[in-house]
Amino acid sequence: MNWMSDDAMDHLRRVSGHDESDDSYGPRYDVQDEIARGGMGTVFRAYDRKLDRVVALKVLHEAQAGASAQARMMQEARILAQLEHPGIVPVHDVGALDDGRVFYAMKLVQGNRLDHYVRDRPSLRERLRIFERICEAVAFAHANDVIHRDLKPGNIMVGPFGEVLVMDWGVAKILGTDEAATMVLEPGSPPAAAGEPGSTHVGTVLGTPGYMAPEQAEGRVDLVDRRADVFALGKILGELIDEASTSPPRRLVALQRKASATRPEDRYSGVEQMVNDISRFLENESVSAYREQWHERAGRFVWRYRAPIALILAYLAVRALVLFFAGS
Amino acid sequence: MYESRDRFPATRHSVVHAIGADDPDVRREAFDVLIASYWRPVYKYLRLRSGMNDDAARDATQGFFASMLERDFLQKFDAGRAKFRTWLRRGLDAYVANERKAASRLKRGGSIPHLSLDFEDAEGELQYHDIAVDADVDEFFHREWVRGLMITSVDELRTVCEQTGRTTEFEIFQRYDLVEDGERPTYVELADRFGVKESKVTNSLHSMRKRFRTTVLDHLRALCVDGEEFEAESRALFGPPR
Repeated sequence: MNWMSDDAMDHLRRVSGHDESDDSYGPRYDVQDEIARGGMGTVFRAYDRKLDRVVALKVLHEAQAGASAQARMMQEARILAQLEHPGIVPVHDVGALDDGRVFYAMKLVQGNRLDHYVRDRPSLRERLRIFERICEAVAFAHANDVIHRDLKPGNIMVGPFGEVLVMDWGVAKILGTDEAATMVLEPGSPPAAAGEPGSTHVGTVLGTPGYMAPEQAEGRVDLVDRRADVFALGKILGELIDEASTSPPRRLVALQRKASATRPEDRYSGVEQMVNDISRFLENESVSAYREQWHERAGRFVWRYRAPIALILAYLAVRALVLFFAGS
Repeated sequence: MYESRDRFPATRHSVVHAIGADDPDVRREAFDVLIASYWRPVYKYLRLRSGMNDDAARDATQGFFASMLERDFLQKFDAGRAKFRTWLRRGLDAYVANERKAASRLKRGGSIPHLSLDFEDAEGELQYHDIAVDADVDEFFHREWVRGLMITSVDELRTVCEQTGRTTEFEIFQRYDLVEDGERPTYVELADRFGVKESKVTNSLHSMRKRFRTTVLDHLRALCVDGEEFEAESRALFGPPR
């Protein structure tokens, strides 16, 4: 080598000047396999040398390393950092690569995506228990004024012990901030998996067709609120019900339809109300989404108190037999 | 992963101390290391700061190092009074002044041992220098010394990588970290070019940078008088540990 310019020298001094205690991307993380690729970034499995653990690194796509994409990635990391909940993946670290791409490190989640989890054909009750946990995580975010806006089975992980983690908060929004700025991407920045069914659509509106509320799909940013997430949850619930049973209970169907109603005002006003109905359904109680007929109420009453009713009936039968034989 | 350092040169001991060793072979080896590290800054300093033409600067460079050998010049160095590099540069100034005063420059190459230095190469590098910008004498000398240190370390890293089958890693490092002009490629472009995963690019760069730093610090350690100076020099070179 005959010559090295001042610029090259300064660059080399800068990038080589970190020791093992450095917290920048290169020295700290040993990047391994690609885990997933989405509209905004690629997730890699990585070994964190500093803390001796395996983590997941979400790195912004090359093509979108513009200022707004970086800002969104940072916002996602900040949102995750604020939402400390067992159902929301915790973020450990943020940083930038040499080429300016922003990354954040998060817990490496073990388990299956929700759409893969249901392939093992869990019972309807098991599915609804999982769905309850999903709703609890989303409700927690809503209580902190954060809406997810891209809820779908592919963004939900189910762990081996039934634990649930809601992932990919890349298009999440903090209510009360400038929606137009966070809803719209630069033109001409196509998603990595464009055209793939169920992939997040990146163009003018962020979200996934099939799970996006109508007002979100139409780009009516002024109308998008917590009920957009309720809509997506309703769609997810619909898939869980359809795959579990050919004739699901009417109360559950009504609940699902209310959640995924076309007009926001016809849906649950919040996820809390929805999860409350789910819990009531699991306890065999009435749900707000369905007005029962008297015989349905009676049937539910009988089913709910079937054990004491059976005991009373048995007692009455024995008494009747005793009286009968005593009389004869 | 390449965590073992056993294929890399052993850590060098201070050549400044070795200059005063009883063993002439040790002295000679230490002197060679010093010349290899300092001849380019000395030559460029003479060309650009002392106003010498290339012939005069070549003669003076040869003469300066030869006089160091002859007069046990280096043994007069007192680490407590100045940094070695500053002291060497002042010694060079004194040498040039004495030579001019004598006004009868000794024709080098006769009684004084001739050093094999690639002056043509160094002369070619002068075209990249902006003399007006290189205003501070010590800063200029220091920067040229750092440049030489880095060039030597890159060459050494290349050689080791070639010997150990890590040419792809070195080429990734070269194409990203040693880019001279134009735009630095993206990791994705490098991955496509070398037919590897993007994560391989990231890890190669990490590995090569770490090795490069180790190589530079090994050279630096050899050129420092003691641990304290080494700490200060390495901090000046790469910044404080974060």
